[in-house]
Parts: sequence; C-alpha cells; structure tokens
Amino acid sequence: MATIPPTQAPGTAEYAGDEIGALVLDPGSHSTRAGFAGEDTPKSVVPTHYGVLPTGERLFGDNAIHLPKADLEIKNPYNSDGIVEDWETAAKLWEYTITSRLTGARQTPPSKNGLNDAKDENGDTNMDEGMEQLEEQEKPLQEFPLLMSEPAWNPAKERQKTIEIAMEEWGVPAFFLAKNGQLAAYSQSKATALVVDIGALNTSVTALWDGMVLQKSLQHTPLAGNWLNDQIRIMFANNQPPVPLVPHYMVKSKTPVDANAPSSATYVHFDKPPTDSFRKLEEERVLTSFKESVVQVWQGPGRLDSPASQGGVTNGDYVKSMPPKPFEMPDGWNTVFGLERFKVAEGLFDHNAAYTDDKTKKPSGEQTIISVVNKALQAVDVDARPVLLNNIILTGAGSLIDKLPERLQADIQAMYPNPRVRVLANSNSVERKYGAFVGGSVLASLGSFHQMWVSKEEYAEHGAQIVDKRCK
Amino acid sequence: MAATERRTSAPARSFKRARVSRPPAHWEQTSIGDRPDVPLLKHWQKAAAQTPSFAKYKVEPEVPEFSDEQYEEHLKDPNWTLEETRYLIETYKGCNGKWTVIIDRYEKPERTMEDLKARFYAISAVMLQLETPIQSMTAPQYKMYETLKDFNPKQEMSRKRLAEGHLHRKKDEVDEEAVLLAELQRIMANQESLDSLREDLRKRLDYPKANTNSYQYSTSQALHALWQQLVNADRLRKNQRLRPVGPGQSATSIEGSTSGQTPASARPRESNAGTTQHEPSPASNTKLTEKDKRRFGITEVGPGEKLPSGVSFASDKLSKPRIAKSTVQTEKIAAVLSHIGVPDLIPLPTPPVIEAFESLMGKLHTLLDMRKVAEKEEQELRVREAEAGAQVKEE
Repeated sequence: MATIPPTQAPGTAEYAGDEIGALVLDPGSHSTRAGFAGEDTPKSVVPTHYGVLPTGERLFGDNAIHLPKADLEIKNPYNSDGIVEDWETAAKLWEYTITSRLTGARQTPPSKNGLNDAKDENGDTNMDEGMEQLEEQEKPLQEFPLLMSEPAWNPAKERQKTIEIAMEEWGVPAFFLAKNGQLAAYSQSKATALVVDIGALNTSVTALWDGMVLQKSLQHTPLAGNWLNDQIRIMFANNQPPVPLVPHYMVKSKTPVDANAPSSATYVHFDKPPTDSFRKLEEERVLTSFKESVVQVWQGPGRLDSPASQGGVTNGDYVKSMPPKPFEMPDGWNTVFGLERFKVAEGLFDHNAAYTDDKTKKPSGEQTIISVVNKALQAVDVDARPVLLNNIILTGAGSLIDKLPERLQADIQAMYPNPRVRVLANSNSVERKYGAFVGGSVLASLGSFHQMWVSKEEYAEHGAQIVDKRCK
Repeated sequence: MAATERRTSAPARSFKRARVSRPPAHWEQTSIGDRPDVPLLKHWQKAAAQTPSFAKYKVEPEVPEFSDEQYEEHLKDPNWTLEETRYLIETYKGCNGKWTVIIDRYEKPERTMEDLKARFYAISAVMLQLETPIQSMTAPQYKMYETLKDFNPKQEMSRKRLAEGHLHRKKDEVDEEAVLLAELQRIMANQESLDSLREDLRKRLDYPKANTNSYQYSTSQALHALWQQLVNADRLRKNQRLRPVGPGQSATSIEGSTSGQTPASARPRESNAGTTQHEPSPASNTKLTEKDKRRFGITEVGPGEKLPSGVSFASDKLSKPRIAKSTVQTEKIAAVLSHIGVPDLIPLPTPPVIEAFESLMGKLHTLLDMRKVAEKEEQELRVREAEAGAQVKEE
C-alpha cells in the first residue's frame, strides 16, 4: 500500500467507497462521535459524560444528562489522562452512540422468527433451539466492519480490551484501530505531518511519516480545553468584581441589567437541589460558551507580556487599547472583558502566565504546547524535521480559539527561524472539531484500505494480541 | 410529408440507442483481493466490467534473504549477532523500508540510523553479489551494487550534524541571507536595464567585446550567470526566497544590530533603508555574542569615551592618513607604503585591518619624523663642516 505513490489517485472503481458499509467510532473524553464511513460529519455525537440514578441505571445522551433531577450523579468513564477507566460504561456508551442513531434494532430473519417453523400438536414451536441460534443474532453490529480511533498513548492492555469488546460483545466482522493524530492527518490528505490535536483533557502531538506513526515522537500535555475552562473559572473568581457563575438550569427568568450591576433574575426553586457533579457539568457549559465566544489568543509575535516596541509598551498594553468584548451570564449579570480574555489562554504558550489557585498548580515549562511540539521534533530523525515543520496540522475542538493557529505558527517559527514553518488549520470548524472522524471516514471507505482490516477469523485464531501486530 | 416521416422514425432510433448504450448491471458481491475473511463488497456491477482487484495495493518491500549457513560464511560482523540482523531485516520489512520509521520502531538499543543503514546495505550488497557474480551483472544491477557498497556512515553522520546545525541557524543569519538575496535581486534588476542600455550603445559604437576575465564575477555577464544559477536552484525549492521580498522585516534586525562599522556586504543600501521603520525585534539588537561582534565589526564605546558626531566610513580611516599637508610628504608616504607592499585600495576595512594600518601609519610617521631630524642634523653637520673648512682655509 505504501509504495504506491501517494499522488497517484486510484481509479474510480477502486474507491469502493460505500460498498463495505463500515462504521467509524471516534470516542473522546468529552464527546463520542460515530457515523458511516464515507460521510463528512458524524451522524451521532453523544456527550461522554453520563448520568447515574440512585438505582444504578445509567443515562446517556444530551437530553438525559442536562435535565436537572435530584440525585442524578454525572460521571465520566475516562481518567485524567484520557484513557478509559470504566470499561463497562464506556462499552455501553459507545454502543448507545452507534445503535441509537445509526443502526437501530435488527429484523429477525424469516428462518429464525419462528413463524415458519414446524408446529407441534399444541401449536407451539420448539423455542430452545431457536433461542440458541438467536444468541448469535443478538449482537448489535454483526453487519458492520468497525474502525475505531484511540489516543496515541493508549496502553496495550486497553487496546486489547477494545478489540475484545468490538469482536465479542458487538460481533463486528472486521475491526481496525487507528491513532487520532493519524486520522486527523488523513482528513487533510497528508501522509507526512506533525499533528497537534487539542482535545478536552489532553493536547497531543503525533509525528506521521508516510502514513506511519513515529512512536518516539508521541507527546501529550494536560494543557487543553478543560484546563482552559479551569483558567476561566479562576479568572472569574479573581476578577474585580467577582463574576458569579450561575448555570442555566437555575434561572427561571431574567431581566436586562447594566454592566456589573447585580442580576435581577428569578431562580428556579428545587426541593432537593441537583448534585454537585451536575452543577459542575452545567457550569462547564457556561465556561465553554464563554471560551467559544470571548476568549482569544494573542496572535504573536512574542508573548502577551513581551515588549511590542521601544518605550516599555508590551503586547498586553496594545491589547488593552482594543475594544473589550461583553459577555452576559445566564442570570443576566454582564460585564466586558479586555485583557482577561487574552490572559486566560496565554498559559497554553507561556507557563508563567497561567492563573493559579490552591487547587490548580502552575504548569511546568515542559508542558506548554510549544515545548511539547519541540520534544516531539527532537525525537525524530533530523532529516525529517524540516518536512514535519512544513506540515503542522492543528486539529481538535480545543484549537478553535481565535488566533490560536497564528500564535502556534509564530512561536514555532521563533524557535526554528531557518526552516519554513507552516501550520495547517482547516478554516471549517466542523472539519477541525471532527478531524479524526473525517479521517477515519475517508480511510475506512478506501478500497485499498480493505486489505488492512483485522477480520473475525484472524481474531479467533490469534486472540486480542493481534491488535498490537496489525494496528501499529 | 417529410415531417411525418421524420416523426415516425425518431422514437425508433432513440429506443435502439437506449438499449445499446446501457448494458445491464447486476447486484454483485465480491471479496476483497486475497482476503476472503473480510466482509464482501456489495455493489452494482456492469455486465462487461471487471471487478477491481485490490490485491495490487499489497506491496511488500524487497529484502535480502539469507540462510544461517550463508550468514556464517559471508555476513558475519563482530558488532552484530544473527538475531539482531534478522530483527533488522524484519523491522525493515514491517516499515516498508522507510528509514525514518525504522529508527523509530527499532527497539534494540544503541544503534544510530547510519549503523542500521550500513549493516543493511552491506548485507544487500553481499547477497546481490552472491546471487549474480559481479562479472555477469547487468548495468543497473552493478550500479545498485556500487551504491550499496559505497555507503559511508561517517560521511552521513557528519552530514546529519551539519543538517542539524542548519536547522538551528539563528534569526540574524537567516535574515542576513534574505537581505543579501534581496540585494542581489535589486542589483540584477538594475543590471538588466543597464545591460540593455549598454548593448544599445555598443551597437551604435560597434564596440568589440572583451574576453579576458580577471575575476570570476566581475563582469555583468558573469553576474547574470550567477543570478540565473541561483534562480534556477531556487525554482526547485518549495519556499522560494528569490521573489520581490519586502525588505522591511528582514532588513530591520541587521540595521539594528550593526549600526557601527558595517561590512559593506551586509549593510542595507539606501534604497532599502527607507523601508526599515518596523519595530525591531527585541531579541536581535541586544544579544550579540563575541563571535558575532567580531563578524559584524562592532566595537563598543566605553562609558567615558565620546563618539565624534556624524557618520564616518571605515574606509576613510584607511585613506585619510595617506594624505599629508604637503604634496612632497604625501608622495613620500605613498612611496614608503608601496615599497612595503600596502596596496592603494584596501578592499575590506575590518577593525583588525584598520588597527594594523593605524599602527603602521604611526610607525611611518615616526620614521618620517626621524628622517626629517636626520636630514636636519646632516644639513647642520655639512654647514659646520663647510664653516670649519672655510676657517681652515682662512688660517
């Protein structure tokens, strides 16, 4: 596959695009994406957070988890490193993501539905035999080959667990596991690239050479979307006056008030207020909307506090002279943010600029996005570095902060002045958000990829270890 | 009549065409390449068309294969074991022969990429030779054999070191290159118009062309050839440097850092100087290492000293001392200088050159003063002697 020049397009008949009907599942710690191969957006996007009722019943999906209910605990099957911890729930959640929107319940074939069986004298059919055969039938994904994505640092045990679930619980006929960064690069039709993927829990860097992941280059850092939310939270608390963080579900109605004036909203009265974890989830939604609409990264050159020109004027002073942006909280309280909306994101590039409080420690200098990129580059062969620098792909929903690609480009160029640095960030936000899904969708629908599937027979023969051998 | 005839025949024709142009298609299931275990492809297939085969995409890289006996006989190497050699071959196969990936996946420790390449190429060469003796090799085969044998890991290592150094070139140096290229481009643009003017003039004067070249790039043709060569080399590169470069950004730091005595080559011309109003990047004008200072000819002024106002050129320091107050003195200085082999025009007035020249001139002035004194003494002596002679005569 690799020796065919990548520029040479296969013939139309060889695309075999929709012919295999594969499914693509791209699970993340914030949302889980699934869809059919060959489509440009995932049809099913489900939040990875789930609700647990006191009875132990698990609730999935946007509609279930955002409804305020007493005693509904919100949980997440991922640990802080972005690796699945609670396998039982994760498997259920992934299955829900696929079956709720994509496949639906299967029709029982006529030979098994009992209607055509010979009846005994009481008019009953022999069910025992039928039940046994039905066992086979009840697996949800028996018709669909499945391509899944995984974080680059996924341990071997977790990878084997993934193929076990897919093969044994879901009964898929063929399976493949690809790394997030790899797929994101494919979505931009690049086989050689340095992928910077800013997700919710982690920002990861993956170097890709001719379609193959360079293992030693894999790096990740917790400075990502959720960390940015924490920064905003601390900024709100330290602001003068402090910004009240009231989630939507608590507000019944609101009336407009002046900037910085106390809100005059009517609040919902709960007999028993929802749990803390529910409140946190809803607060995160407010923070996310603030992040998406107000926060901006200083576009470079230099850092926010570095001097812009002679005479002690810093970039920050320049930013102060720009018009500030207003933001209104769900309860009507509102104010404008000037320098603060830049400062919260500065920590991604300058660890000294990060906000801290007693729970959040200052990140180390090695955790900033730039030093992680540098570490990844140092781990690859020197001849490959200029090529990778020329093909840096920025992806992930966390990268959608305004001017972030420009800053990344400026900072990396400042670090390597000689080779040409090019940061490719798709201007279409959907493609950036679902980069790994789109790449997986492209890959799984290619005729030439079909050689690579791990089939059911191979799994039966070699066991779960085959995933380490085949999906490198 | 004719109209009705046409009408009746028209549908018949179109019916026929429809039948001919659309061969029936049928719903078909095929397996993929040589993988019967993967689910079948389902698609509409035209009757005549062939099912595409994906097997051609399964390409295995060619690797040298050897038996244990062959290894013992031909391939032994004190630094390598049989297992590691086999592991290397396996890794090469697994990575489709891409060395960047191989070095990344190679899990046995302490081998550089050059080590691996040297070993692999050596094995390939030996196996190639065992397969076809050198005498009966075809030309491409022999060429391959030569290439495999000629691999020099040491040279490759030093090339890598240079490449690494090149990657970490400092901003100043990158900017300087850009400025120089922009300068060359500007010169060439002027040259072009000058050339055409000159050509025109020559035609009118029927001027014979000079063929002797004392210096490689002294003539406009030679310069033009150099320019063409650079442009051609540049065209092959992805990021072209020879384009209408706005000199603003790149010229800035040079000017900021070399405001003192600048070597003529790195100093932006007046044409560029007007556009350098940008904020100078802070890194470039403060931090200069000793080496850079020497390179750019920067001398720092001590706290007590004062600089003369206005601009002075470094070359002035080499030409002004030559001219004395009187013409006779100037001629004398010139004679001494030409005697000791100092040329009239010193091309590069770097600080060490100026220093040496100044000390030389100091010595020269002392010499001239001494000579003046000596001549005076001699003259006086002669006068005294004449006086003495006259006295003797009188007596």
